[in-house]
Amino acid sequence: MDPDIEQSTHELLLRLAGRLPDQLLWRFRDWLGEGAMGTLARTLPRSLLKHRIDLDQTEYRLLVAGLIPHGADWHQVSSTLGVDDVTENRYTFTSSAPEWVNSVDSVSVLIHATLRGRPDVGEVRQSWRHVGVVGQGTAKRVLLITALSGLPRLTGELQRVLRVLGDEEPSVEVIPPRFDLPGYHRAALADSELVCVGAVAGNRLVAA
Amino acid sequence: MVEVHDGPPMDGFSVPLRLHNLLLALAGRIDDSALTEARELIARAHIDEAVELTTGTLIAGRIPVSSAEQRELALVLEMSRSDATLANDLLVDEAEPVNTHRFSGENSPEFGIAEALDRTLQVLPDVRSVHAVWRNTPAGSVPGALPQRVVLVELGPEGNPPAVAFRVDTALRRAGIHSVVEVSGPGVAHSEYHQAASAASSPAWVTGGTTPASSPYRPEPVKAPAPVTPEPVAESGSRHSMRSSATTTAPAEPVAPVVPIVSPPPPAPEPPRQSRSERSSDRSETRAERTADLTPAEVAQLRQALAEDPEKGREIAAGKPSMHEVVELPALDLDDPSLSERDRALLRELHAELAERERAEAAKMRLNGASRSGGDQRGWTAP
Repeated sequence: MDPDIEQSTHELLLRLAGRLPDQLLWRFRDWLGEGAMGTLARTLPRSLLKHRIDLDQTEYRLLVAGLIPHGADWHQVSSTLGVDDVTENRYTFTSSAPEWVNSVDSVSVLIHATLRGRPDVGEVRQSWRHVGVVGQGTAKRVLLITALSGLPRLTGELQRVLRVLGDEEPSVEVIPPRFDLPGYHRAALADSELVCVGAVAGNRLVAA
Repeated sequence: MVEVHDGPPMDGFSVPLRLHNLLLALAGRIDDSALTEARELIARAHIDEAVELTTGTLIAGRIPVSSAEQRELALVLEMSRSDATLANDLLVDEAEPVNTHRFSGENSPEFGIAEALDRTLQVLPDVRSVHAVWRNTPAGSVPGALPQRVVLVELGPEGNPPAVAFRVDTALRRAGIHSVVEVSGPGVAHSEYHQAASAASSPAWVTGGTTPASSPYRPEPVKAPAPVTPEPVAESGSRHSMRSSATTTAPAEPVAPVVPIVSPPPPAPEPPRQSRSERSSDRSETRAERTADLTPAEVAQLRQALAEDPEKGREIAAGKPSMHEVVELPALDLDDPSLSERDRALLRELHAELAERERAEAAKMRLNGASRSGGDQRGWTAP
């Protein structure tokens, strides 16, 4: 697969975090990780339209670059370009685990065991996402990882691990270097805790 | 495998039902989340999204389908105004998929289901039976947590399978019972997956109407249990009272409970069960006490088994019912004086064996208790 096309689609799916429903987003990211570009090209533009998700110009360019070469319908793709500003992040984040997480957080421990010292991986952090007021409703774990290469596959791999551990719709944000973070990710990072660091030192997500 | 598109059988079905039947054939081959979401999309009249999700999951997971299934998917894609060329990317393999899944009826997979579905079963038309089983093996390329509870619903001709699948799933989720719901209507062959699941399943609810109460999936006819109600019966003090009273299963081998590896199903509303102290006192009883504790249901079960099949009776007495077989209790009168001396001897032997196993299990639980007391595994998982 053309790395530029893969990278474009990965960045687009990264930017759709918190906007596209989780149950669709993790699935599209899984398909990207498996290289099913033709499937994405035929389904992602329609999903954006059906869920009334408008793209800004940057996201639109990513969609065009990633999916038009794989047969996405031009009319559908064109219709995704919005005019109004993209809705800002509607979630709040906390760095501390909710009460229901045992004092031994096995998910976090497993991520640590898998990614610590791993080549091409930088910092690994996690945050807890809440809808509305913190403490009401359920909190959702969001993993935030910097990586230099193989981002879609790493996303897919971690998603599969989290699903086996019970998170049906995992939120795994694998962020490339020099990425202009959307509000969703900035808010998550602002209230996140360090899980581990891969082999890439200095690729910090949060300023020291 | 369920034949999905070879001539007339599917032609009479509507598009939603065709896709529903296709999903039945794909159960165990694609992940349970995809199955559940696709069924909800069908019920909500989003056939295009449902078939795209199904096809995309098969393509990305490189899950082989038969050419008949590929044709059927292409047809549903076309009929739902999706891009039918998506089906060209499917991996086609004519080899019959072998069912490699393992199912278990132990640890009460049916627990709480009848209560959770009380209202649903009153409202939805022509639901004939609901069975449940644990699946201990992963499904699809992106499997979820194990064990997975599989709920098997059987409908009569008045029922609408996609709608029932969605409503039953919704009601179970609302009650905190995590499962994948398989709904079969009449006229659809059952896949090996469903047959294997049903063979190990326990009844959660069966209609008291005119239809046979036993599961139609069962490979060989089994004596149907007496119609059961969703309401739990009062405790009898027997070890069987620890199980859902709605079921009439034989005394399964008292093995250690099936402990979900990582994500146990959320707690379900439970019918009255023995308290921990009651159970522990149960274990400390002597053999003689336990034998005296024999419930009428147990007597009835053994008596019936002996009458029908002396071999099976001996198996029960030895505490070794056939693998995966749910021995069903007939509703008989209890303190039947017609028990022969031979029956009584077998009963004594059975209870001696049960008491021995109870003691072994209690000892094992004491040993394991220290390592398990570390915490609630449920709390380790993400939401």
